[in-house]
Amino acid sequence: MRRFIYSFLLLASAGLHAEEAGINVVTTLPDLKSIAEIIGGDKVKVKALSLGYQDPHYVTPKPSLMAAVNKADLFVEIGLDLELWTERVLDGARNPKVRKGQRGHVYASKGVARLEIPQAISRAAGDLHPQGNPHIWLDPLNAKVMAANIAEGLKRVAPAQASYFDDRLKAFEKAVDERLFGKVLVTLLGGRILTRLTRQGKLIEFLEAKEFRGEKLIGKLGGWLGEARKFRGQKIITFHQAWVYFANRFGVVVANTIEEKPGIPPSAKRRDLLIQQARSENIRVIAVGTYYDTSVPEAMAEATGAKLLVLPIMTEGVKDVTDYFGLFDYLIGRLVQAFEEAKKERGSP
Amino acid sequence: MKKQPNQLLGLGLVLAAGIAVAEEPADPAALRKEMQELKQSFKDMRRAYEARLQTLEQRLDALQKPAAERPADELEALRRDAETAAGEKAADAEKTEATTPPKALNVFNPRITVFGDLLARADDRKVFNEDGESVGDRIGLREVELDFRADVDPYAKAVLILGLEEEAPNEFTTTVEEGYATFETLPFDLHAKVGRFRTSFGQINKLHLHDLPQVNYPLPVRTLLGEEGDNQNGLAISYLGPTLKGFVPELEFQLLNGENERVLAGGDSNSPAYLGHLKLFRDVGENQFVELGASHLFGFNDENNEQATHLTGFDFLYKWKPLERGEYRSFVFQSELFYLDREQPGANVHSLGAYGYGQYQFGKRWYAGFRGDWTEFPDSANRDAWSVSSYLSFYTTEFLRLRVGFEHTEEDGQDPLDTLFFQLTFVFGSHPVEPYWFNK
Repeated sequence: MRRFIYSFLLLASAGLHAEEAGINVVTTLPDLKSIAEIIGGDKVKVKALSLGYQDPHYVTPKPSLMAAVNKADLFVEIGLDLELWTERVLDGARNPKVRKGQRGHVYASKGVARLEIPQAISRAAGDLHPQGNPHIWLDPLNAKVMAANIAEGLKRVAPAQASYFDDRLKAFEKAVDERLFGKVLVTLLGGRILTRLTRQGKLIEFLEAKEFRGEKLIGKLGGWLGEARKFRGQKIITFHQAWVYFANRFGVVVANTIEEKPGIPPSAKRRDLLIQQARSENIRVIAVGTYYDTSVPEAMAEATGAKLLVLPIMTEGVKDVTDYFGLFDYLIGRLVQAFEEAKKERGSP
Repeated sequence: MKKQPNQLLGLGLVLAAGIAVAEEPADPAALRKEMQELKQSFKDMRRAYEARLQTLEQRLDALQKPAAERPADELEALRRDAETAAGEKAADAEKTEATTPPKALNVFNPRITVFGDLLARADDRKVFNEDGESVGDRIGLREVELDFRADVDPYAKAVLILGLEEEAPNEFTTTVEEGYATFETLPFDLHAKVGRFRTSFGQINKLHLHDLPQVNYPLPVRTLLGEEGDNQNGLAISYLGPTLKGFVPELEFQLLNGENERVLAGGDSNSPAYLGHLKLFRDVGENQFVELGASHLFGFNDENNEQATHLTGFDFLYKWKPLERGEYRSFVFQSELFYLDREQPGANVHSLGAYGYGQYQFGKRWYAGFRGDWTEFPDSANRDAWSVSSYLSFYTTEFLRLRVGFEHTEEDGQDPLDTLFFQLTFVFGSHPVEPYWFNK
């Protein structure tokens, strides 16, 4: 009997030690990896199945990815039909804990307000995403929802650490608010109300109308949104419909996409049409994700004098972007610089 | 403070009066009017000064108040204004579930995909199928496949693939290409499949006709496994082994009916066949991978279970596809070797077969390749056939492919054959993602 008790205690402690040894988290995208690392802290080891400069739509579901997921305690994907390849990986991984619908599976997109939900679904419209545009990580406010989903997943697989993950989630949310709005405004009004104003599309209007201590509140807007005021309302042309969440949040206007329809490479006719549009509407910046062919954008930039920006769409998409916050530092910094240079070259807008 | 404006007014009046007295006497009415105007101006001036003084006093009071009292009211008011401006919490209707929310029972319908494969061929001589019917020099709807997939319950998935094939001109047959259930929640990293399926002999046999990187199966596959490869009824168990030195091993064992017509007893089979397949996959950096495989099929090729067949195969796959801009360039080399040891009355047959192809992707939608095949026959190693082919594929999108190809074939006892192919393949419906060994 004593031997049984000792064996039981040994096995039980082994289970505890397994949880303390590190929760094995596998994500599809490097952005999810970055967020999971922040929320999970020293309780997690995180691996991403794709790289930041790789097209997330087309990841080869290789046995090496299956082997990685085989050992996972938690699997995190965006969903919204972005990573259709995960079905093959999950089937081949033979890990019942992380299959869809199980406690070790997380859809990071759960609860995120979707944009560009197609009204009519047909392949005649190109390679549509029937559930809406899946590039949700390009809005920092969505990252708070994604982080909450990841935290819920971590709490399911490691309930003893629940308060630890909750604390880190709160810290992440505060960090996002401060990076987005600036510390001063967050201290004055709080991240919660600023988030609601922003989601309602009323933040700038409110800040411009209100004063505090005799100063206009708009002057206190800092962070990424403060910086993005330098290009708010400016038009860009992008290669693919990946930028809608970024544009919606930071106020840049996507005037058109080089792909006429999603997934359809541009024809010469399309290129010429876009060159005409860029000239007539004084569009000064063309943005292309790092994993797209730049031959047509280069031709357009040469013909119009617009700045061509090859930008990462994900964390680790370029070597300077090593985490999720760094992605927005980079994107906003590059856009500000591009518009300033364009302004100098062409004179005032 | 109030006294000052009155003092100013008085001074002004005195000055005005003094000026009036100093000047030559004027009309009293005009003088009276001027005095009234001056009086009004001073009143206005007084009012303005009083307002400004009041504002200054308020500001001074505010600055002099303790810090704790001063901003609180203003800040609270600001926060209340912000709450009001933000309005009601965002409606939940905007939000999403990551999967389609169930609205009706038809959400449980299977995912359906339809593949259509049309083939036009021009041959320099007559070509006949196994039944002696002429199949050359024509445009044919070679095959249509209906693919149904669904989760059955938390423990199993099922796949059903029906094929409609034009075996001979205007003669269509219906077949069950595959129909099986899979169990993916087994312990010990096992995976099971039960039903009818394409057997795991080698690499390319697992692909359906429309998924082939070329127009047809390689000669040794057609000759030793079947015109469209080998699919049988059975049970398959596979095990994903631990990664060792970067190699990911997978071992599969299949218990089959033994109904392969080429090397086993076919329809006369009354004993099972056994197939084992081991593959070793390895990433080579982030842009390349290789896979080595070995297969062995054992069964009887007669109804009395007296004549054994051993078919052994080795396969190799190399793929280069850069992750950065990976949809625009890739290279594949794939090769398989077959060895057949077949007991027959008289002398055993020991036949060999092999193929190898290289394919290069030179644009997002363009692929070109070259393949060489050679095989001996299952009933005789003294007869062989070989072919060389080249092809060019163009994808309008991942859902439609156009392909042109040329094949030269020579077979003992037959005239050489040159064939020009034109193939159109389309897919519509849910379109499951292809496995990693699919190479366009």
